[in-house]
Formats: sequence, C-alpha cells, structure tokens
Amino acid sequence: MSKKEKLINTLIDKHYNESYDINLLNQSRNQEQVDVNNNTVDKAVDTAGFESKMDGALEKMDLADNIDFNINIDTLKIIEQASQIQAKRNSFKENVCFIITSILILSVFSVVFINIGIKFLIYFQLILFFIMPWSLIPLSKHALRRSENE
Amino acid sequence: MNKKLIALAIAIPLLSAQAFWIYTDAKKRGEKYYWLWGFFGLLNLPSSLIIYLIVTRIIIDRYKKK
Repeated sequence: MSKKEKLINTLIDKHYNESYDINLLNQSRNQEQVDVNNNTVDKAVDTAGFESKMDGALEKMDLADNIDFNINIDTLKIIEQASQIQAKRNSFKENVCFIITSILILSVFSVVFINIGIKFLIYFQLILFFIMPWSLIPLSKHALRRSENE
Repeated sequence: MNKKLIALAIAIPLLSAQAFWIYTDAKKRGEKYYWLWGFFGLLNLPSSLIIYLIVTRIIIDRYKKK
C-alpha cells in the first residue's frame, strides 16, 4: 500500500471515528505545509481537500438514503397503458393510410369517369350489382366455416 | 363536363364517408379483413353498406350466437 493510500484510509477512519494513525496524519499535514512553502503543493496529498470532498460525497449518499422510493409501482398497469397508447397511435396511422388510399382509388375512378363518361359508371355499377351480393354472402359463409375448422 | 364534376362532387364525399364508417366499424368489431370492407364501401353508395350490415349484423352475429 502506498503512502497516499494509507493516508486516504486514515482519513476515512478518522471520519467514521475509528482508530487511526494520528502520527501519519500529522506527518502528512506537516509535509503539506512544507510543500506549500516550497511551491510543490501538486505533489502532496491535499488532506483538507480530500476531507471536504469526502464529506460532500457522504452528504449526497445520506440524501439518497433518505429518499423514500415508492416500490409499490403497478408495472403491469403502466405496461398496459403504454400498449394502449401505442395501439392508438398505430390505429391513427392506419386510418390515415386508409383515407389516403381511398382518395387515390376515388381519384382514379374520377379520372376514368371524366375521360370515358357515364357509360363506364353504368357498366361498372351493373357488374357490381350483379356480382357483389351473390359473391359476398357465400364468401362470408365460407370464411366462417373455415375459421370454425381452424 | 360540369354535370360530371357536380356528380363527382356529390358522390366522392358520400362514398368516402361510407367507406370510412364501414372501415372503422369492421375494425371495432374485430373483423379480420377490415381494409377490404373499407374498400368495398368505396364501390357504390347504399348497397355496399346494406350488404356489409347484412353480412356482419345478421350472418356473422347469428353464427357467433350458435
């Protein structure tokens, strides 16, 4: 153990009112004074500075000990809330996507309608009216049967 | 040309509103293909809605009750 480390341990012992080598501390303080006189303070251990630093650190640690951390946090509820917020955001994005794609589809229909005329609309609607109802109802029944088998 | 534009100006908002309503309703009901239902609502005005209501409120609900 170096002399510096010994000194630090002594200072810590002193702080906690444990038995410490007072001679070492006095010797160090005398050496410090000599170093100040010789303008070589950077080489010596600044005992006063170290003590004040240690006091500051210990004060902070005491503060941390005194803080009442609320351990009874309902993490499940927080996770649920977070997933709800996420789902809402995703739903909003999906809605925007749907609106944009429906506008695109309608604009294509409009362009075709303007260029070709009413004939396109009549044929399109006639086909839809004949095919859609007859195809959708059996299709939905088929989908239900499939989901039942799964 | 003007008549066509007027017809479009009337039809597009109605179709969009119908499609969006069908889309949100299908999503709320937990339908698997809610996007397709929404696009189906774009095709024509009252019949898409009627078919949607028949399929979801009568056929699917009856099936679920069984």
